Amino acid sequence: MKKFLGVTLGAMALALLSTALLAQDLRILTAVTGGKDAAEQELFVKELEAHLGLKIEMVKPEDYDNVLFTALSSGEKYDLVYGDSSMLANFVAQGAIQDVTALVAASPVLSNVAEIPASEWALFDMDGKKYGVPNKFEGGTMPVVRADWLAEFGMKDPVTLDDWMAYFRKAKEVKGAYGLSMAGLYDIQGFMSAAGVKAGYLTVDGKRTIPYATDAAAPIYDWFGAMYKEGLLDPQFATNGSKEFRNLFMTDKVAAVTYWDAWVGLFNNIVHTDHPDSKFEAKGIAGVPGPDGKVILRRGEPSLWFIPTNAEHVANAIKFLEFWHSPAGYVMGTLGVKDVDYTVKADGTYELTEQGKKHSLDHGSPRVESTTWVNPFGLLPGVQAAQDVIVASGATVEQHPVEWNDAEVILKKYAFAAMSGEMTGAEAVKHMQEELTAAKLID
Amino acid sequence: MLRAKGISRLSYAIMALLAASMVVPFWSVLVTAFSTRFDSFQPGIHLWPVPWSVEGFGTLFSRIDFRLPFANTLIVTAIGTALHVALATLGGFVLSQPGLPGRRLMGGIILLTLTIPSQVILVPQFVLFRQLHLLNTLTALIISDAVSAFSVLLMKTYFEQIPASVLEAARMDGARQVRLVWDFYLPMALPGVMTIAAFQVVSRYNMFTEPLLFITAADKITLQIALKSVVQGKDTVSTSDFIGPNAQMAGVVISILPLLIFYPLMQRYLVRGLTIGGVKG
Amino acid sequence: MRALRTHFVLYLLVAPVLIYFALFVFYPLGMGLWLSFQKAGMMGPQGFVGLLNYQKIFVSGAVWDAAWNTMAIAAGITLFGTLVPIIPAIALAEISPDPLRRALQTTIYTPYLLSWVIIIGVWMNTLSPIGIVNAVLIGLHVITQPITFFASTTWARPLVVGQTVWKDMGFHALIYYAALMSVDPELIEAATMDGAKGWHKIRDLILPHLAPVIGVVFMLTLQGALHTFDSAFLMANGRTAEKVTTLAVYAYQRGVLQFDLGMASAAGVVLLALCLVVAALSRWLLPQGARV
Repeated sequence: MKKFLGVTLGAMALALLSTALLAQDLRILTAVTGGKDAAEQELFVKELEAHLGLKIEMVKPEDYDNVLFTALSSGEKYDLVYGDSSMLANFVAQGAIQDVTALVAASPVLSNVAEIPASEWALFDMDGKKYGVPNKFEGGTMPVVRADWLAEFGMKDPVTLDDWMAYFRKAKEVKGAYGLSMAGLYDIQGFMSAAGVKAGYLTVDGKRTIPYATDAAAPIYDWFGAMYKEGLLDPQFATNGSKEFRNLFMTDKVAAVTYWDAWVGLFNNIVHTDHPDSKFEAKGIAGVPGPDGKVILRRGEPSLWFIPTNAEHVANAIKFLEFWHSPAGYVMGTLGVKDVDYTVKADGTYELTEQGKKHSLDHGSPRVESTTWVNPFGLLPGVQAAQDVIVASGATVEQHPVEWNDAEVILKKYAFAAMSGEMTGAEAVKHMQEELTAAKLID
Repeated sequence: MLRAKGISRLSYAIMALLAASMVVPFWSVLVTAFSTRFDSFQPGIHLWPVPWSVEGFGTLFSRIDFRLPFANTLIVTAIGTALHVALATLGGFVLSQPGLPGRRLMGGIILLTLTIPSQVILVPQFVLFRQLHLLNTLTALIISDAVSAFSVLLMKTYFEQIPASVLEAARMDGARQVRLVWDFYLPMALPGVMTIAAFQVVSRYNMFTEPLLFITAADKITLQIALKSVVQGKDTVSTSDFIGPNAQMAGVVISILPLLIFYPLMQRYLVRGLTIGGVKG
Repeated sequence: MRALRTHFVLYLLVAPVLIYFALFVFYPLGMGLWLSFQKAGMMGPQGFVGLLNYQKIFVSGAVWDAAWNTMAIAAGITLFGTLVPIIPAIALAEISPDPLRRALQTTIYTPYLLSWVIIIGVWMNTLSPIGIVNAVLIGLHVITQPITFFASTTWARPLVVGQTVWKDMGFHALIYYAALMSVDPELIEAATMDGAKGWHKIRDLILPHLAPVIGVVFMLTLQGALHTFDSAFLMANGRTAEKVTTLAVYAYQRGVLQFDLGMASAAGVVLLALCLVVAALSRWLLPQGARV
């Protein structure tokens, strides 16, 4: 019995020890970076370890928000966590992440504006401090139209609200399609642009305002309401997810949607893969110019890498980030794992494997921040033009402080009612202002 | 069973209607799964895929290696369900014993667990499992939900349905407690055991939050977690990776297939419960 | 003496169950309660803040709306979810031959196997303005304009209730059906000999026999309904959020999406309090025979 106990205890100690020996040099919690499934993820980490010479644990959960919250708040220690700029204010207020300004300045790679342009850093700057490092180029959302339909109707790219309305009417008449479909309030920005208002909060003279709830926005709600009554607006606009409107768009059931610039290419690619003869051509175009002639579009929230305050291997975290913003890192973030997703031919050019083709050149950073590196396979048709429109518009990230969560509920309630023609835009805006003021959400 | 014609006729009508409402959605899942990717974008309900295609399943299988996740799920489901049923039966049996001091108190405590929202205990549970060194083990998934108030209470009501007179008579005949359990309690409880087992198998098999939080190692992930990446692809990020609805629905079909096979098998025992319970009761 | 020994054995048998609950439910609950009085975020607990988390919750009216939504939805789900499945259970027992009965039983059980994402997706499709239901209603001239069910504040709660009852129908019917299996056929025989009508047999024999099980299903459904999360979370959109944001959804939004563990715990405790009150009330209101 004693001997048995001894052996058992010995085995247990060994088991504990062996987990101790497995200790990592770098622990990463990620949402999109890595392999597309568990098997590829293992290979991805293996290649990463070879590049960096570190033992790496890279956790890539299926429901990121939930795991991020549970793991971190229960005291799990990670050296890098993935997130976006909307989390920034909260994390900084809680003291959960490190100020990396000095670390970035000291890094020849990260401080190189050819790899990460200054304008990209500016998107999430907090009083001159950097609390994260960009992961990829995010692009933005914009109205996407059917260029082939416009050509067929003999129309030019719509510019004013009236142009759009004419295009929608024609699409309904000729194609039996809805004019516009979308998935939420944030998708109306391209048209709200006509009133010169921007989503989210805007601080004017130290006072918090919400442009969508101002009188300037009212006529745009009415414009949507009129469209709804005419049957030009997809009546499910309030309940759709992006999946729903994407499907409508690719099956000729709607003439325009608001979506990511990157998806312009995917729309074209998906339709032409299955229907090579199709005339389908998606095209991203600028929103409606406002009174001052300027277009306001949405930039995507920059995706960022944070170094938690309790990180144990900060130097290794920086080492990873420097790799991620180097050519070898760009290849991993786009093409994926060598000899799994792609092979290198004798002449040094790349060739995608079957699996690599299925993964659409996306292993965490389909578009990189670098201004010098060129993707060997290029971008999908229509993406570059769409991206240029976003960049040209000078779109900036919207302000979404913590109060936005509550404010958005109020905005949506009345905006959607007005857009369904149940009340006028003026009434909706009035209700918004009343409720937002009462809830102390605007000053 | 009731020997009444009117009710019998009505029964067929009700069941036909109900079954129809439940066939339609499941059918639409099947139709989408067997459509080509492009056809699966078409909005609205379709009664037949034109043309038939297993492209969705092809995409699914090329993206996910099911073998290990399926084996993990099988282990967790089998052992977890057995444990759950055993504990629930024990608990229900004890709580059904009249005259046991503290019976009502124990029942009350168990009932109390039904009211506890997971939002309060999820993070503490994570901490607890880490303290017990159970993170990244299948044991963690087996232990979670090892017994539930609902199962204990259900078993208790089944045990209580055994007429006291029958037990008394058997006791008079000098039957020992063990014999009583074997001859009377278990046959009476069998439909209950099967009900709980049916419930547990489904909930273990579909378990999501626990494996999501407790498992990070690739070799321990379960089927539902593996499927999630396809069935519910990342939606809002500016990604360039896209999975068609046909592959997503193929994932749904694959995931519920084992349960659809299991259920009719289990039904037989429900019927056997009838005969044994009927004769002895 | 013998009684004592039997009792000891019984306590020993139930011990694993009690230990499980103590360690894996009540201990975390204690920790959760403690967390609700802590400033706790992504860095874990940072110190005692008294009732601050509760103050933060109650300062806005949103929590009251959420409590009201929770109760309205729970009432609907409990009432229909407990009683309606008795009908298919009795109906199933009437159906012969065996294979047909089994096929029907499996069929009504299938929605229970599908995840909420699929259920909501399918019903959105079915009830969409261009879906089958609107097409039929327009065809029958019941309505002239399609109803946008999922974007309607009127339909929001009935849809959550209806879909939940429908999804769980097969499972609850199975519980009732299993209980029906232990009805003594001789009793039915005797009642038939006495010339009792079908309805009377249901009223006088079947329902009393089912009463304890109905009690268990009632309790389970009630508590499950008070914790309604997935269905409401997935169905809520800009138009319906104010009608279907339950306390569980509210706690999730404050916690996971705003990274405030203390506030999420406090919101969870509020939900716990509501559940306890409702549980006590319902126990008191239930007839003796159906009490759990």
